[in-house]
Order: sequence, then C-alpha cells, then structure tokens
Amino acid sequence: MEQLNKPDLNAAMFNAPIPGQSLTHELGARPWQSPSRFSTLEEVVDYYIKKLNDDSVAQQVLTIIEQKDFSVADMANVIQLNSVMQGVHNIDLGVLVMPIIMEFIMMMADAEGIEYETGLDDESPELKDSAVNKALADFAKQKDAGEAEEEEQEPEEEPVKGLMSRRA
Amino acid sequence: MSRGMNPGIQAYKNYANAPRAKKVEPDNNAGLMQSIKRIKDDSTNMPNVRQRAAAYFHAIQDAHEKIKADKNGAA
Repeated sequence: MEQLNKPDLNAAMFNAPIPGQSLTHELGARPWQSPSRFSTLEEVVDYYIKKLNDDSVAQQVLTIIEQKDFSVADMANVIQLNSVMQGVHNIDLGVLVMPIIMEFIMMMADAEGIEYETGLDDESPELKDSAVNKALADFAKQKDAGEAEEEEQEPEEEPVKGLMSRRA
Repeated sequence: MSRGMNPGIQAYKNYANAPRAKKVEPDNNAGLMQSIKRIKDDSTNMPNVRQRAAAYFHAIQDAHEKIKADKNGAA
C-alpha cells in the first residue's frame, strides 16, 4: 500500500498504454496497413539503388558502417524495415531485397576503401568486444569462480571407521 | 540487435549459393545499371521472384568483385 502511494510509481502505472491500445487506431490509417507504394521486385530494387546512390544517403550509411559497431546486415535490415513502416513495400519484398541492399552497401564501401563488418560471420572479433558480450563473459567468469569457491569450502569428510577397521 | 533476428543473413547466403541464371549472366564489361536493365528486360523468362532477386544480387556481386579486383590491381 505504501508503494502505491508513491507519486512516481502511480505516474508510471497510469502513463503506460493499456492493453490493445495499439489496435484502437482506425484500420488502414497506418502506412503499413494500406497498399504499399511498390509491389514488384523490380520497382523495389530500382528504389533502393536510386536511394543508395544518393550522395547524402550514401554518406550517412558509410559513416555508420565505418564505425564497425553496426554490421552491414543489421544496416540493411533497418533500412528495409523502415521502408515497410513507411508503406514503401511489404515485408516479403523487404526480405527478398535485403541481400541486394547488403551487397550494394558492401560494394559502395569497397569503392570508397572503407572497412566494414559484414555481420555474416558467426562470431566476428569486432562484435565479440561489444558491451553485451563482455558482460556475458564476465558473468560466466564470476559464476565459475563462485562454483569453485563453493567446492573449496566443502568440509573434508572424515574416513569412516568401522568396528573391524585398524586402529591408528 | 540480435543476430538471430536478422533474416537477411540467411537470405544472403542463399543468394550467394544460388545457381546463376545463364540467360542473364551479367557481362563483366557492362556497367551495373546495364546488367540490372538486362535482368529487368528478361524478367518474363524468370517467373520465380526469388530467381530474379538472386539474379539482381549476382549482378551487384559481379560489380563488387570487379571493384575489389581493380583496387587490388592498383595496389
């Protein structure tokens, strides 16, 4: 009861969306609920090639890729998902065209002499150094150390001596 | 972003291993836009949309390889 009277908790509770609120908007009002702008693969490929050939877009994409914190695969996924949300094309065409976007970005990066992380390898050294992976590795180490300490703390059992055992 | 959440990684590997369409095999001397136009013009021969997508991918891949080869040659 005391917790409920705290003002910050009350505010957080009543500011949250109610279940089903996302479905209350009029059907078809969202861009992804109406027919998409492009419906064929050719149109979508043209759209992305023109878009990525634009100097300002290419500069932004290559700047992010150059950091190596964000792989080309993730970048392509973000680009196509954004287009789906804007109603440019549907999700099926987005998945079909994603490798084409990836290859095009890699081609642009190689043309400019920029090193990048493809995101195709299972475990890349750059992503291995990410904060999440480091935290997981630290957690695993701590867990192992904790288990080792527990094993050490276990008292040594005295040898069982029966009636027929030899006396020291 | 979780890597398992990205469908593009598997799609990329599928396209890379897909057989090349002989009829639209991109000419190495032609530019990328010309290769794409050729595939588009020949799209009636490829009713399968995945096959067409792989053809576009291979055209870009060839242009990419050419750029890499040029860079290596210059260096």
